[in-house]
Amino acid sequence: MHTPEVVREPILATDTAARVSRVGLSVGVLGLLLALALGVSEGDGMRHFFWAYLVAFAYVFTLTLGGMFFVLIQHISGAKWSVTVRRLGEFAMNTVPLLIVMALPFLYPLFTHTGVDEYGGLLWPWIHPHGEHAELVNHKSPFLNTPFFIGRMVFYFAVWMVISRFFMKRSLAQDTDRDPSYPHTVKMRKISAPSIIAFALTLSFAAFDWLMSTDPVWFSTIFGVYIFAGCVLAIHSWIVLCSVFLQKRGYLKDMVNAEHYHDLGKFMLAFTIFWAYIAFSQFMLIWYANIPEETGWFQHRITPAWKGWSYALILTNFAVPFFGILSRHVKRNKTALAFWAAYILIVHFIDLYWIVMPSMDAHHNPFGFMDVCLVVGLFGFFVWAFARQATKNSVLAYGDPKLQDCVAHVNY
Amino acid sequence: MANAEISSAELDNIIDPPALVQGKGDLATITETVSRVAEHKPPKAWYIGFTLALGILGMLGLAIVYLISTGVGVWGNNQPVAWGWPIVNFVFWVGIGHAGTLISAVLYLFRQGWRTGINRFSEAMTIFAVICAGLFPAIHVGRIWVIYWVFPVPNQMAMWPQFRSPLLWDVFAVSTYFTVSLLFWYMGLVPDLATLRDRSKTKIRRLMYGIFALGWTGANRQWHRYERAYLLLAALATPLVLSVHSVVSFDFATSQLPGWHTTIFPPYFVAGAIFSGFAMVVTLAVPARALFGLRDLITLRHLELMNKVIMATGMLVGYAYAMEFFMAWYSGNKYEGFTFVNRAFGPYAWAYWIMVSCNVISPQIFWFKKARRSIPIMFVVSIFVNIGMWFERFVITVTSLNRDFLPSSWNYFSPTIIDWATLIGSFGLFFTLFLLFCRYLPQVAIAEVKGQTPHAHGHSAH
Amino acid sequence: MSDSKKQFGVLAEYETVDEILSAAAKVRDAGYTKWDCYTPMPVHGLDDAMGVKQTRLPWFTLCAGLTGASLGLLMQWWMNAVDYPFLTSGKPQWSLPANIPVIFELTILFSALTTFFTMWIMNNLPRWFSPLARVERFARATDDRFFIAIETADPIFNAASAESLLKETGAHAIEAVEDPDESAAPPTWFRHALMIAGTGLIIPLMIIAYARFSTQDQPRIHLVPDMDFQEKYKAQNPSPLFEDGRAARPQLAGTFAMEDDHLVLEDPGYYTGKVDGEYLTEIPMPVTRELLERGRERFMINCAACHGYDGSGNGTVHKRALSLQTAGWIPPSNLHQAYIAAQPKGQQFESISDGIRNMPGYKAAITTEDRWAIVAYLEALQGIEEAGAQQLWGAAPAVEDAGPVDSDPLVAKGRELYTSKTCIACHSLDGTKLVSGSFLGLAGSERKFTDGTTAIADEAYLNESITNPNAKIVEGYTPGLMVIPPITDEEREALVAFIMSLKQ
Repeated sequence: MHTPEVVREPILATDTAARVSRVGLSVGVLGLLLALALGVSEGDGMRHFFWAYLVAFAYVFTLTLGGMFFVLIQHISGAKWSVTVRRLGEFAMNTVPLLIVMALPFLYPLFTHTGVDEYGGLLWPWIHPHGEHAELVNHKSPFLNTPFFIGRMVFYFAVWMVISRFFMKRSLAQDTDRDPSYPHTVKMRKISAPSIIAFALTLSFAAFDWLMSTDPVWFSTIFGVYIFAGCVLAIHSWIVLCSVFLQKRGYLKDMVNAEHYHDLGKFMLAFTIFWAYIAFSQFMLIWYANIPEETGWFQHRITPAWKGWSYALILTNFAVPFFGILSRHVKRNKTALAFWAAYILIVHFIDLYWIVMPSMDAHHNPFGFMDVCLVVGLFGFFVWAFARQATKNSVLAYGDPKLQDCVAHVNY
Repeated sequence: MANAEISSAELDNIIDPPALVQGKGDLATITETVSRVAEHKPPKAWYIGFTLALGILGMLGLAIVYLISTGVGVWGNNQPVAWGWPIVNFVFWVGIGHAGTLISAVLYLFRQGWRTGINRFSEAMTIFAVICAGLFPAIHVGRIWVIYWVFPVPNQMAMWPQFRSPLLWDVFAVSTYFTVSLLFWYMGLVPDLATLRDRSKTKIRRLMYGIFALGWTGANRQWHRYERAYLLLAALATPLVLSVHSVVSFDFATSQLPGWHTTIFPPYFVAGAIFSGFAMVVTLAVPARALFGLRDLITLRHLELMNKVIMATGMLVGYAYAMEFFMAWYSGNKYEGFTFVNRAFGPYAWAYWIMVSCNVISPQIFWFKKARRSIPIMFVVSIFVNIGMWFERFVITVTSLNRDFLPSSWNYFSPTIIDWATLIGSFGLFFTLFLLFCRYLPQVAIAEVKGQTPHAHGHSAH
Repeated sequence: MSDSKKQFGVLAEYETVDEILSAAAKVRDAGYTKWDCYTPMPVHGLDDAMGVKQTRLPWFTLCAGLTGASLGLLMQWWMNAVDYPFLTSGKPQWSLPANIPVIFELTILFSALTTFFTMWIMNNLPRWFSPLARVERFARATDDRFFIAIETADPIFNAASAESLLKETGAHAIEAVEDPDESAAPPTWFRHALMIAGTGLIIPLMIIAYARFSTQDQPRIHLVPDMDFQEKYKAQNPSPLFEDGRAARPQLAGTFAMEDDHLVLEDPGYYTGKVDGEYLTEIPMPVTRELLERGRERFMINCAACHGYDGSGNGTVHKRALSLQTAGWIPPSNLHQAYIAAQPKGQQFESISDGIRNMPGYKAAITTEDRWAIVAYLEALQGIEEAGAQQLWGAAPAVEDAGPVDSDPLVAKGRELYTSKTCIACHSLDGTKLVSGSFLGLAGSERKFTDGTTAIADEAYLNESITNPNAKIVEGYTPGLMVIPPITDEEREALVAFIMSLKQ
């Protein structure tokens, strides 16, 4: 039952990648400009723009961090099945510099006084504590204050830069350097353990800082895990989409087969369930205990404006994809799986929008063209940064020692 | 040579220590190694251990008879700590059980071949641990003769159970867990029982093993459905195992009590359960492999991998401790804040620091490969983790309760001699069952281990 | 291989996985269908080599899972929101979030049990006997050898060609397998043992079923005494401790009863509803809107559970008692009845304070002022007859008809006694069967008795039934069921007249 020896040579998708990156860049620029124009014209001092920008930013951030987790977990577990698609995860992980640039606009709401009188500020309400919760927010000010917030942000980015650079460099170096003792794999495996600890802590606190603090009164210890579930779901879907796309264009033909899609699909299913598990745990415990400072967050999400969105989430993000990917046949059929991957990437946005926006306005759902422009735009930039790497580097980690095992592996 | 391809066996030498099965490792040897234990008189240590376990089990029996005939007042439970050791012991034992399912189901789904050496063993541990766990809620209800009220069966009061209570979810979760674990374990046993049946020399052994082997012949059309059913059960057991300790955590977290009500409890409890369960597997595996000559099947590599899981889950637990502390402050809720300060520096600070040092600090030694592969070190650490995880449940239960909202009812909880007798006695129950299992059933999944050897894979194209 | 003996098939032995994989492919290609490979562990690739089709087992699992989920949901909804609804911890009676865990567990339980049992059924296991088990070398099929058996049941089976095919595949040994005449069933003793064990298991179930659906005239056996027998005194119990032999102590000389930190004698009318043995006729305080609102609130909290929100006696507790057909249940009074409305206020106050019939006193639970507030509200509630229910409730409540006005004073008295002497507990007036038969149409009807005789229910029969209920037992009823409160002869006459007036 031996599969033929794999051919270890780079797979360069230069032209395709260049085209895709150009499309991504133009979509990004166009989306951002359109959104800016709409934001300026809305007349709320860009408040809606910045909140929607935060959602779009979170979308890209979960993809990047999802990529980082994907790479780290493959190394720490010494996984074989994922070798042929791991480079895609590495590309996603390596878009941290883009993330840093994308975070710069947040400095404006952090330092401006625009809109303080009307809405208490443009973005995170704790920047200018006001209203009935000011006292509670002031209690948190040792943590939630602008200098420390920026300091933490810089720290997260620094950690992620170090991790992503290290694993990207080593993985690329291994492609050309064929040392039979595979020092890079051994080294990456060693470093992956401490990296994943740093990853867990930075991701959790980044989720607290950027997303949970949009409602500074509310708190939930599981929140970091909730965002993590979204990261993992998004990255597996993204890898499926990229891989199917590349295969359509004639790359990775012998490298990714039904077995790999089956595995990716299993993770999509597993994390759809995991997401539901975490979301249910968070909701049910708060609903059950019914303590005012916690229920407020959900109260804001069952107002007439948001009720439909909240209930829809159960269907769109759990029931539909669960039954969609449950079958073995779907997971092994790349067209079907690609459909579900695209679907999950769309509903992932629904989830993030639901997390952030009701905190801006519980009684009005502002969803509109600008929100779409922003998320498509920032996603376009992500695609650009992602694909640009593929113009220079092989889309296959062809120097990985487990490549042969990966291609030959079969599911139960 | 840029194209020099190395075989996966050589590669494993670089990335992982080799071979799951050591020694000769052919099919007949595997059969012989495992079956021999069930077919011959056990070593003297077994008899000593069994007598000891039986004695402690007897003590449990006495304690329970005294408890039931007198009432739960014989325990230290009292206001404000109305949930004392019984719930601590319950959560402790259920947690122990989780590793078995994790090894047999989750690692199966992740295609971790090394699980085959230890899965039978840990599944047995799961079942016995769940039995020990189920004991505590059953005896703590006070009137055990009406325990059937917890099930939705018509009763003389024409009432139905209260499905909004997390304690009732526990009933469903734990009994489902026990049932599914038992099915899974037994299903895995069937081909091995057939092996024992076909090797048996006496009529009675042949009959007993034969009945439970259900007439298994190893026909491939049967293997085909068997394997699919095994995969399905594994896929069902995986979310189940997550749900069980989550539901256990709901017992606490749905309340409004500071220290109990926090949203991270479900995954945190699951991580803790896996952590404690793996520690218990190591505690059991270390002496068992020496005693029954299973060193070739439960190798140092198995133990090392388990130690890695212990370290990883230990850090997940540490993550949850940290998040709880951070949120206690961040929430701005002064009761929550007080509870956590009280945990670390209050009257139970000793228990808290035992917990932290056993659960978070002691597994850190496994960063060193030498420690991961050292039998004495791993044995000691695994015992530490067992102790630490018991104390975790103690800290959660007792420190949260002993400082009531009303300072006048603050009190210090002390266990009674009966508390001690039931806790220690539950170990007697566990080890009695476990030693019986070691004696009469195949401790290692023979067929599954065979499936992991090179002999199980064809080499020619067909 | 002689033809005289029945043959099961041909068995070939192989030593390695490679051998059996290639051999299986050859047997498959030869077109056999009734054959199988026997291996000590699952061999990957063998399914393809044999051409085994994917099992449909997962579909069973899916169906079972969906069944478990829906059953879990239905069960919790029915049990907690429909059949036995009650409030707890401020949750809705049907709390979906709180139902998810049990739904989930039942989904898994059903799926797992179905998967497990369906797998064995599809595999035709358990089986007591296999002809292969008679072959000595076959014992190694669960150890370290691999076998192929082609069965004679195969439509294209031919002993010679099957053997030569297996020889070609490189089998290390080939053997014809006999099909012994033994039946495939387990031996008789085993079947008997199973039957006895099975019957033994049914016995306790039958005892439970019998006990559940039969009536005992003996008190139940107290295997566990629970708290049924406690060493304590109840109100009217005797006690050897005191000279007068009473457990309940009367007011001691020189002490004074107190209510709400005040001496009762300061204002006996206010605290007891009575002055010198005479009931107050008016509420001893100004009846304000606040008082009525307060009374309404207290009524809803303390009284409505039995007397109903509209005071018609149709509360939740009563409805449940009826649905359970509780023997001896004394229904809460319809507060709209004329005789209650006509009572002096002080008497109503006393009933609330000290209880009446099986209603307990609420002195300890409701403050004096609130009890008066309830009395005040009661008057307003009774007034809805005139004011029109519509005005107060928005929709017509299920207030029972206060009853026809009886022209004959004896019948009117009987109707009152029907309630006050608790006949109402077991006998309805509208033809529905409660614990016992309805009074409607009783008079003049033919009664059939357990001893086979019959009689027409005339005045003599009714008199006898009230005095000595067990003299004649109507078919379908148990003796000793009817309890008579002490009544005078005049009262009995009034009752009989009342029942006779219900003749149809």
